[in-house]
Amino acid sequence: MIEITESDRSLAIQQLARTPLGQTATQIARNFAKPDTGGDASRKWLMQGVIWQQCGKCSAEFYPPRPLCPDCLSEQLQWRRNVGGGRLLSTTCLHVSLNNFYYRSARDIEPWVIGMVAHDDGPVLFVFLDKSVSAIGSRIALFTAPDITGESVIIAVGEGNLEIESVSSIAAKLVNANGN
Amino acid sequence: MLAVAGLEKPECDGLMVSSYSLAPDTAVSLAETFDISLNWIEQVQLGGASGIVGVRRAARAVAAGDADVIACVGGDTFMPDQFAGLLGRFSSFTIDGSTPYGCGGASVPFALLTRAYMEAYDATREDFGRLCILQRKNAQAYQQALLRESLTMQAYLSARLVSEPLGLFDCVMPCAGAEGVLVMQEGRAQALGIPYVRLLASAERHNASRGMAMPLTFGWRDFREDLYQAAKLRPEQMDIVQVYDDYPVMALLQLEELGFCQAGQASRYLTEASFMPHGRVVHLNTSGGQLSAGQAGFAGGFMGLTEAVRQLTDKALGNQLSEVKNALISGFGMINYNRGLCATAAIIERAEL
Repeated sequence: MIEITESDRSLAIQQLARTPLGQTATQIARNFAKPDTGGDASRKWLMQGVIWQQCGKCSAEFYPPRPLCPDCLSEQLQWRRNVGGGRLLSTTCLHVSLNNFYYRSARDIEPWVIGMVAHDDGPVLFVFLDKSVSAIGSRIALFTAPDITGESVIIAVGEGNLEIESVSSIAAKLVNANGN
Repeated sequence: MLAVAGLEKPECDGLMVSSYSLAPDTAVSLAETFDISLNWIEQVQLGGASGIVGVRRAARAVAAGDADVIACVGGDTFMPDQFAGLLGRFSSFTIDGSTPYGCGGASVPFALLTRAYMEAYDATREDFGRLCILQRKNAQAYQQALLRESLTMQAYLSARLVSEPLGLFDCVMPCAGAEGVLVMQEGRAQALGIPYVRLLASAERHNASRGMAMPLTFGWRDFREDLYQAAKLRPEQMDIVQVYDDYPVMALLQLEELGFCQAGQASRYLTEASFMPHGRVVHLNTSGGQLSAGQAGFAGGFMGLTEAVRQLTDKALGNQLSEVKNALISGFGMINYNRGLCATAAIIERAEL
């Protein structure tokens, strides 16, 4: 059981603050999440899929966010929600983090499982991974939820199998390490 | 460095600096700090590739006559309370794409790479352990190393886990320090009567693995033939190899990509006592590498270079080898998102005085 104090939260906000583009991605994810969860004031929300950029000229999709298209260098970019899946490239179980929130919750409750996923549409993503998925090459479904700072992170679970329950439990731990 | 070379401060007219923690100062701030005027200056911010890339640039500047004596220095120091903030905000991709997953710093990307390597090549933790044990043996005579006590396989395997499959002894210890060399024309070194080495060849390649989802190659194989041809040497003729060892998997990957063995095979030639590809011992990370000495930020990208120069001028600070004529040094740096982007290598040889 760990207590999340206001000073934990403010240190986490400093260390985990996003770029302006990353903040935009969070706002868009929240807007998509509204009809799913019905709560916009709550720190808890959940969206199926991921938010990233698409080139208005050549249609390339890419992540992490950037100011121009990596294929044709156009600056005409738009944000898009992609609900496709991916394939698990690798995983790690994180016991020690330089971030105090992740370090303490890994030490006192359970280590975080981090995955790297190759999305079917190209981008490679870091994700919080459901611990029941471990085989490299597994099919993966992706969701977006807020972390302790309110900014968005990607949650991945095995495709098809009790997705929402696993996702909700990881999402709950991300805003409150105890998961309640 | 200047005192050892018998040079006065004004005789150094070029400066190449690599440092993460120098900010907000820059290389030219140091010109004022040291109170020197310079004809040539360069700041190379390429992490573990900085040393070799910087010396490569300096050698070309000296050859072109832009400067006579260039001091190439890498140095860093970190305040523990600032370390997490600095590493977590390394690049914009890091800030939005990896730090939010609890992985400020390099251990998570390298844990993911290590697991992918293990899957691809059927490698085990023991394969990495042998490298760590071998390097720790080399560190025993190197007083500057932070970790010098011998390491056993049991201690390696049972050490605290950091980011699986990486344990404590797979991760370099952050520390403060600096390394450096002087670059000048051969005739100048001879006139000064100082021991020196010749830079035979060097190469660099950046973002070589673009487009690959989970790359296991990072650029050395793209230039290795040109490198060996320029040096008129083959991997089987190298006496010393100093590979960049921020994590053991990278040391193995460099040995493979630089042609000492096939991909995924380096650990087959590695025992707890020696590295023996081609049926012949190659002296590997002779001062124990960063895994023993610690990683002083960008100075870690100079460590293999300075150790190789010391060995080939008979000035090793411990573990001096005999009958060594040449060395291959490689560097790797800059996890901008999920992989290191900068690969570099150089070959140097002893100058027969």
